[in-house]
Amino acid sequence: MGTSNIANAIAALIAASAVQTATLNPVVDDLGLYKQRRAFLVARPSTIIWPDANPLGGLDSLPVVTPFIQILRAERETTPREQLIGELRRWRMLTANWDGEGALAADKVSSRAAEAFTDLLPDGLLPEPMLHAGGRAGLYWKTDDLYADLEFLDGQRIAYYIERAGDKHKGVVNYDANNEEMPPVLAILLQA
Amino acid sequence: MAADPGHFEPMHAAHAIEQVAFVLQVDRSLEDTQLGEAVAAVQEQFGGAAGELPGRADIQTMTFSFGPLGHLGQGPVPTGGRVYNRTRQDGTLESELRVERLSIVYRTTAYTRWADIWGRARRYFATLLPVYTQVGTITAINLNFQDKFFWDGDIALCRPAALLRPQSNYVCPHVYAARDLWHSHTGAFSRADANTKRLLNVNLDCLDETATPPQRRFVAITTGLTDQLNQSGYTVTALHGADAVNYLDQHLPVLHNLSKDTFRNVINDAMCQRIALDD
Repeated sequence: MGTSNIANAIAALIAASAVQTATLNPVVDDLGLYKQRRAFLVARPSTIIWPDANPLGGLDSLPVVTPFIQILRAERETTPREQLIGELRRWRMLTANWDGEGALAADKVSSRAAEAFTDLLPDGLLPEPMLHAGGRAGLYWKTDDLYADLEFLDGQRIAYYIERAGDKHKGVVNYDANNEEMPPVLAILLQA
Repeated sequence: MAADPGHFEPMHAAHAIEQVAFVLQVDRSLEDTQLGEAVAAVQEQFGGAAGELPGRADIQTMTFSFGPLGHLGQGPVPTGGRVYNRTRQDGTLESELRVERLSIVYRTTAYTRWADIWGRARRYFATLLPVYTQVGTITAINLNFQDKFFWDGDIALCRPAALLRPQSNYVCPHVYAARDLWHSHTGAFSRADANTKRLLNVNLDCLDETATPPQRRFVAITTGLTDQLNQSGYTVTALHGADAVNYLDQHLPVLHNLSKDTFRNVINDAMCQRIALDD
């Protein structure tokens, strides 16, 4: 299409839809990777139509005062941390007898405490989540040099059993899920 | 136990947020010098190979002039601004800052917690606002969330009610009976206060993703809140430099809470619980 034809098309578009600014589709390559979009700025730049905002095709006629951001074409992977938290959140919805063997319903307070605890862990030290038959949430590590099992008794205490470098440690520590601070003993044992 | 006919799953297991964007718009376009100043400030603080936004590209624009005789030829081609970004190793976009003549846009696909995301956006705005508010006044502040829920099950059994709140204020009623693809877009202005004209948009699209097999059905929900300032019939809000940043500090959490309230009114209780919206 020649420049003149493009200009005519845009002029017709503006006349037909009474919009003041038109934006072209973003450039997306064969792999679906986002590339920079190009914009046509015409007349008063206060209203934008966003052709790509209507995924069923055609122009979106909704007047939008600030730019609507287009639907992304390339999805990122879900991170291991999101997977872990997602698992805890999914289990939080389980009702009694979720295992078919009389388990108690998920303890939401315990589960939220476990979720808050995961926020304190670096990406390289993410555990597996657990749900105990008593309904409490737990976190579990098993690597060559670490075995650890935490059970969140409520929002304020954690029972732990940790094996590292041949030493065994167990006990109960206070933990405030709202405090965003890992109990020192666990910080040492888990991250040593 | 009854067999599960299928259910919706949030896009990223723990949450459904595909993208969050902050847009700030001013009433006067930056001149070349001011745009250069804004770009230099971002480059210095966040750009460069070791910076948090290492990717960069100029925003290209094409301008056409129209007159009674039709097309008058292509005018000069101004630079629209500059986009800074960070991409992942797989090439997907992690975050992007668009420094444009009339607006600043920050968006990210790496949503963690509101405090973290706004904290990052705030630093960008704090860097740029002194330049923009020297030239003009803020006319719009926009917060835009895009959530996605994928159907897990036989597509033929996908039902809107598995995700949507019954009789939501923001969903077109006939959508609830849909058995195929659907969409529902709505928006309305309201007078938030003497200074603020507020636009709320809630756009839902049920679509099939067919680019890469297997085919997946999903519902994308865009919740957009735009607070317009300095509008006709409203009290003037003059914000400059640090005042503008302080205003955003006060204002963005309000928009965030309102966005959550709105979203809570779109998805059902089970999904609110699933993504811990009320925690």
